Amino acid sequence: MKKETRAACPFCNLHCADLRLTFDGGRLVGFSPACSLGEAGYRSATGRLPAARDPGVMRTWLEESRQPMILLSGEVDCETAAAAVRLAKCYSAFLVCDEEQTGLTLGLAMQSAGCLTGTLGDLRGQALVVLCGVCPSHIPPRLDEFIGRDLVKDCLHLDPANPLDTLRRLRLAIRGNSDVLPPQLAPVAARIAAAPSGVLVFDQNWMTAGPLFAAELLLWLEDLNQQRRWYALYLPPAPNSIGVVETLLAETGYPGSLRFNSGGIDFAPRLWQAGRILEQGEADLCLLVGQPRPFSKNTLPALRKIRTILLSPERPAWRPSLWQPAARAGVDASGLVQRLDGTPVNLQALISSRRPAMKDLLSELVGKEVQV
Amino acid sequence: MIVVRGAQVYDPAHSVDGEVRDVWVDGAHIIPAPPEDAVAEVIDGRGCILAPAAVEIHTHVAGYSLNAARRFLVGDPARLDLLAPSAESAARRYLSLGYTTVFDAASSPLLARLASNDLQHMAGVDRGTFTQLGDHRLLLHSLAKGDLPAARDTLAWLLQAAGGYAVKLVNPGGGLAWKSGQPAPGLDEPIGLGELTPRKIIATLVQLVNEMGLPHPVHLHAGRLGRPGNAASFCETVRALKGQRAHLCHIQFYSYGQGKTGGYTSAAERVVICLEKYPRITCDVGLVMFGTAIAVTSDTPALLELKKNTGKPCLSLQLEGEGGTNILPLEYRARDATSAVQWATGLELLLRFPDPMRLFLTTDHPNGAPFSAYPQAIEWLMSRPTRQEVLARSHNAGMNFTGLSGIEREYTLGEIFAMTSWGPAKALGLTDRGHLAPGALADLRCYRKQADLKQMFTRPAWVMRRGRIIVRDGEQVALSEGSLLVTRPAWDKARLPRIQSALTELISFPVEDYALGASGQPGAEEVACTSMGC
Repeated sequence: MKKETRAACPFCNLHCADLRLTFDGGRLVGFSPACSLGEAGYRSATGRLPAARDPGVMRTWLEESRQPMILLSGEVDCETAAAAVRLAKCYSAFLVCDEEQTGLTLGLAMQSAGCLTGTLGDLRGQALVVLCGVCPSHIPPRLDEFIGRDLVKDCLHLDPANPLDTLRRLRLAIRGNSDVLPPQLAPVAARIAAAPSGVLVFDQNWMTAGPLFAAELLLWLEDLNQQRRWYALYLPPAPNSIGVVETLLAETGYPGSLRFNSGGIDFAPRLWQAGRILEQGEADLCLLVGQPRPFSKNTLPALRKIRTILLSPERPAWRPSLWQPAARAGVDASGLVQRLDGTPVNLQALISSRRPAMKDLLSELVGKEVQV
Repeated sequence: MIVVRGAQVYDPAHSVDGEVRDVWVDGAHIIPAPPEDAVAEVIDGRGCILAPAAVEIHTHVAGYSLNAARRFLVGDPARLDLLAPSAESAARRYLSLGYTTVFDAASSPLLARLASNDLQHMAGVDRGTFTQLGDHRLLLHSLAKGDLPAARDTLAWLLQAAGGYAVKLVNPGGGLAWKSGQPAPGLDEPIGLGELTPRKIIATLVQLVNEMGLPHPVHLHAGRLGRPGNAASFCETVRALKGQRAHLCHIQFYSYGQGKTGGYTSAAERVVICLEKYPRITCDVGLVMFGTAIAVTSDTPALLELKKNTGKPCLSLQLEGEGGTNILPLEYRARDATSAVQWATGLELLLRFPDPMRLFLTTDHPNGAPFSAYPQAIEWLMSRPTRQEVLARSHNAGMNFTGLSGIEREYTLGEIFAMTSWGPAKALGLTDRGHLAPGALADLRCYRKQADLKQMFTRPAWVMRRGRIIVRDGEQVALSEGSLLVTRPAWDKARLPRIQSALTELISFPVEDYALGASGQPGAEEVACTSMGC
């Protein structure tokens, strides 16, 4: 029997909440409005679901571990991230997050330059959109609908070979010093100068260049805002990058790179990154909550030397010591996520399965009551 | 049954001012003294001061804006811990200071799930949040059209959808005007929606909320916050309320005159004279203390003005269909003229205002100072020499441009308890607490008497919630759940399709998911709307 359901999508950072899905006996047969990413995600996620395993092994391994590390992916829901914090507290673990570098870079840039941003409804109808070095594959398929323009054709693409220098020159030009502008950038500067309002869209592509670069981008925004109204919009890499970092901030005050101990929390952003901890042999167990980003070729051998537990809805391409299939928020579990603009979205369970939700698995692993 | 024997008891609601007497508790409530042969657990209160637990009427401890503040404080653990602790830690610290009821002062309907999440974590205290509606387009459109029934129903629906306890207005219409590129409107200037002005918004919404009988009246953050010379427009705002019941928050930030060179002076006396005429208005002070702070506010025009003046970076998120939320780190320095005037103005307001049941102690945490500074503020209020000593070593603007140095008044303990217990409880419509009459909630705080007032108020001997001691010597010794308080005023549900249809035009996702969506506020305790506000 066919059944139509309204749903919010878990497969990209837009979390479109206007989906209409039709299931026939648990099989997806209808999907609207059109989105190739969402449809493929649902088809794959509602296919043959692996059964859950006994979490007893996970508990034993955690208890045997001298120094566990929990690596949190940006694809999990906020409650799972909060449960991971509780688990890390309980086992005095490292807690690192796939999203923390971006979070830190952006955070440091904000601390030095500030930022004006808006939720997607407020960004609609701005006069100009400038894509700053955005990798086309990072643009969510339906962002056009939210921003109200064709992001491929109807906006300014800025992707120079030397972006930092270009940004500086453009910023000085906006301040009135057009002498510093090479001829090829003059039309760009003119178009920006003529727009009464706009949005600077950027992604991790430029963020990886470091906080100075991010700060330059935000300073540019600041200068634009002296006379007009310009907003920044960051396209995070994972579906819930924003929600996971926000949850860590709310729970601990930090975006990741943490080590819990009896005295409290230590935060060391340069020291406690997943790759470094693994390569230095500082952890003897790695609990991966959600599919992590691909490991570097130096990290992967180090990871293979220790016990690894992966909680994830999908079978991984690499081979962890233990894969615990878990439900996916928005498919067979509920969960709170945050859209790329920070707006919270509730994901509902659409189908039932025997896979446990990650937040429940982690809560079960806490095992003992956290002391007040 | 428990009896606290021999303590010096303060119950300002019933004019009990330091009498030595016994207080009886049965279960979660205060009870009258039972017959003499009654068996009870005895708590020795000799040498102690016993009072109702404190009630926080205005703080910022939950929701998106606090997380945004944390982004600014990453890398500075001491400031982070002081100004933006997790919601759970904030609740614990409030408890350790003797507060068992805490209200977060502003949450947005759009981001209500984030505030709700934090509130769920604040176990141990009764808590709630005020829903910020002063720039909500849906509401302002109804007001602009003069459709009061629509405005009333929209307001009730938004409050319910966001899980709020009361209606907060922040510089009403100011955020909307800013978004459309206009300067911050004055009280009688149009905000860009026909003839609608901030005066009209304030007067109408205050009246509507009072007619709906919400336990707490409109919680108003007025326009022109923090600007020199703003006392005149603030007093005009007070008059615009026409004597209706309302609460004006952090009034220190509106009590400024302007010196000949444009600098800040105190206009505390003028503001107090104005407020005294309107007995149905309550206020909280929003003290500034020297040290670190962080501005957390929905008042975009005010914050961008502050940014211009301080040159500091500001983080601003503008919300669809509403105003925005903004963050800017601050430092109030004793040797800075403006900071010195602000610090002295806050104390001057408290010391000039005669009725501690109407003006309450707050620091607008973390805007003026962290709430952990309350004991210090109490010491200054109760001891003229200690505040004079600070005044003497701060910038001479504090001495020359405020009236603080000439004020002899020292608060009594009874007045301190009035301004921190019964006063705010009554203003919030929570008449079941903040006093010690039989039937009241057994939420108590007990201090060991000592000369060092700051130390005494920093570390209560114990704090009781619902008849159980949960904090002893500043440490939490028992878990307590606490209630999430909401109000759900009546409204015409037949209007829902029209409200939702209009909202669809303003937001970028389905209206069914707006605010808390279908899930509502799980486990919330509804406080009834009564005729108290009328």
